[in-house]
Amino acid sequence: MSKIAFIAPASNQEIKKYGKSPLEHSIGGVAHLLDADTYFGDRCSNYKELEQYDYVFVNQATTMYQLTIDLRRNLPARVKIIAFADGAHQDLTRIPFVPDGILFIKALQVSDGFASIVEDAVGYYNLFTDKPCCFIGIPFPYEEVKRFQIPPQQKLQVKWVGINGQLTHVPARNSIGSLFLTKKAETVRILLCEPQKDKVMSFLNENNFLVEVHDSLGYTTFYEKYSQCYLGINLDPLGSWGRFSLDVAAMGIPVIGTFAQHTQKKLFPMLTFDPFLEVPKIIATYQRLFSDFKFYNECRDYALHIIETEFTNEKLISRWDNLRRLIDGT
Amino acid sequence: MPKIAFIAPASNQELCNHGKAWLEHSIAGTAYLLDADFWTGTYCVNYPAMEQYDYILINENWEMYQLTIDLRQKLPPKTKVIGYADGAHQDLTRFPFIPQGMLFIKMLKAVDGFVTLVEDAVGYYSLFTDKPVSYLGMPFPYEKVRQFQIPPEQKQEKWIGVAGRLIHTPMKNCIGNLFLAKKAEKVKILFLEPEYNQVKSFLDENGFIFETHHYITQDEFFKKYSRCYLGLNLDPLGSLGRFSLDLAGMGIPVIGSFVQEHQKKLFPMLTFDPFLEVPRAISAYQKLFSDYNFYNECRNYALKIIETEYAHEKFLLRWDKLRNLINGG
Repeated sequence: MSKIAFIAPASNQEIKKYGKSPLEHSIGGVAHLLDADTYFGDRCSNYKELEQYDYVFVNQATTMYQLTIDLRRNLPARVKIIAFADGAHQDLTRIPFVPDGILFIKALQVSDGFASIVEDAVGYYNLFTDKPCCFIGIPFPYEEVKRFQIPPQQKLQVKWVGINGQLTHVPARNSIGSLFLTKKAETVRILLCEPQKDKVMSFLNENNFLVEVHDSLGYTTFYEKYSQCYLGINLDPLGSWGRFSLDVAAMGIPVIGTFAQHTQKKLFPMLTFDPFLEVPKIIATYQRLFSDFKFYNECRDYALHIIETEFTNEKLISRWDNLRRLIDGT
Repeated sequence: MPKIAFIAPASNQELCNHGKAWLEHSIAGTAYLLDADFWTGTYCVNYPAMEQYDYILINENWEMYQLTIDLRQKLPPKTKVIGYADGAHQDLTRFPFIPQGMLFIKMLKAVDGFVTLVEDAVGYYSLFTDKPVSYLGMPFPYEKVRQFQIPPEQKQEKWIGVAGRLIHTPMKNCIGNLFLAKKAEKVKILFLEPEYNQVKSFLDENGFIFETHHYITQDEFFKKYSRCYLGLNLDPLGSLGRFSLDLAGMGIPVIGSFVQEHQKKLFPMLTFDPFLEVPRAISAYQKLFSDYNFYNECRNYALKIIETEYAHEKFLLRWDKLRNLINGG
C-alpha cells in the first residue's frame, strides 16, 4: 500500500498535517479516496516528515507553485511529487505572467506528474511539460446526495431555477447570463447565492426577477435548498470541474451549462453550449425543458445513469493507478 | 445621406470632433466607411453639437457606458444612439458587476441599437435588451494589405507570428501559442513584448528562438509579419481577432480559436478551442509543415473569403439592415 500526502493551500503557513479527510465533493474527497494524509500550508521547512511518503499531491494555486518546486528539489527522487490542478484551466492566462505564470510552468516541468480535473484539458497542460499529465477528477458522494432527490412531478406548481455563481464576487462565472436566461420562458422563481445581497437587490427588482438570495451555504444546506429546483443554470465559461452541475444533477435536476466544465459536458450533452456564442440554442433548449417533459426526463435520467456508472470511486482509483504507472514508468 | 458621428474613448475628456477618419483596420475604418465625423471623449456638455446627427455610434468600453446613457437621455429621439461593441464579448463577466456590469446592462437597454463585432455573439447581447442587436464588424483595407503578400515558396526560414503578449495581456494565451510553436520543426518566433527584459531568461531557458519587438505602426506590422510562414492566435477572448485577418490578408495561414470572428470565418480547418482541443491544434500545426497542399488550401480559402465576404459592400449592407431595424423598417 503506497503512502500518500495531499497538501492543500493555506496562505503563508508552514505545512501542517491534519490527518485523514472525510468523503466530500471537494479536493478533500481525493485525499479521502487515496487514503492520503491531508496537510495544509504553502511552505515547508521540515522535509524529513514528507520523506515517509511515496506520493505527495500538491493542490495547485499561485501560492503553491514555489512549494511544488521546493518539494521536488529537497525530497529524494523516490518520493513522487504530483501537481493537482485546481481552479480553471484558463488560470495560466488569468494570473500575472511574471512571476506567477513562469512559476506555474516551472512547477509543471519539475513535478513528476500532473493531475487534471478536466479530461479535455490534459493536452493544454501537456504543452508545457514532458512529464505525465492525466485526468483524475474529484470523487462524488452520490449515496449521500441522492437522498435529496425529489420527483419532478412534485415541482410543477412553483418552478424554482437554481443559478450558479455570484454577481458581485465572481462575475467571471457569468451568473448574469444565467439570470437573464430565466426570463426566456414561463415565470420562474430564482435561487441565487449572493452574500452582498444589499448591493444587488435594487438591480434585481428593477429587472423584475423573482429571486431568493442566500448567503454562502454548507454542503447539506445547499442540497436541502437546491433540491426544490426544477432545473439549474450554470453558464460558466471558466473551464473547471463544474461542481454545481454535478451536485444538482445528482438530485435529479437537469442543468443547462457550458462545455468548458467537465461534469456538465459528461452529464448533459444535450444541454451543453458555448455561453456566449450559442445563446439562441440555449434559449430554445431552456424553453423545451418547460414544454417537453419527455425531453426533461431524458436529460435527467441520462445524467443519473452517468453518475452511477462513470463518477464512481472505482473509476477514479483506476485513473489514479494509470497516472501512477506513468509516473513510475511501469 | 444620413449624418453620422462615431465616438471613440479618450479618458476623462470632453467630446471633441476630429473630422473624417482614414480607412484603417481599426474602429476608425468604420467611421471612414460610414463617412462619419470622428469624435473622441468620455463626457458631453455640448449636446446641441450632437443634435445635428442622425446616428451616433459609440465605441463601448466601461468609460463610455454613462456617456451613452446620457446621450440617449438628453438628445431628441430623432438622433439614434448606437452602442458599438469593443473588447471581448466576455467583458460583462470580466469587470466588476458593480458598477460597471450594471451600467453596461443599463446602456444596452437605453440605446436604440447595438452592433457587435462577432456575429455569433448577437444572441448573448440580446439576452439583456429588447433593442435591435446586429453584427456589423469592421472594414478591412485589403487592397493595401495584399501588397505585403510574399509567396510561401520564398519563405525558407520558418518564422511564426505569435499573437498576444506575455506580460501585459496574458489572457490572450500568448504562452499557449509559444509552446505550440515547439511542436514541429525548429522555427523562429516573432511577437510583441515591450517588456522583453522581464521574459528573456524564461524564453532562453525554454529554448525558444525568437525576435520580440516594441509597439509598431500598422504599416510596420505588415512589413515585419509578412515574412511569416504561419501565425498562431489561440486567444480565448471573443472578439474580432484582427491578428488572424491581418495575417490572412498577407496570405499567411493562422491557427486560432473559435471565439474570434475572423479566425472562425477565414480558417475553419485551423480553428479550435484553445484549451480543450490542443491535440487537434498540434496535428493541424504539424500538417501545415508537412502537407503543402493543405497549407495552400487554407491560405487560398482565407483569401477568397476576404475578397468576397469582407468586401465593403457587405459591411454597408449590414449597416443598412441595422438602420432599418432601428427605424422600425
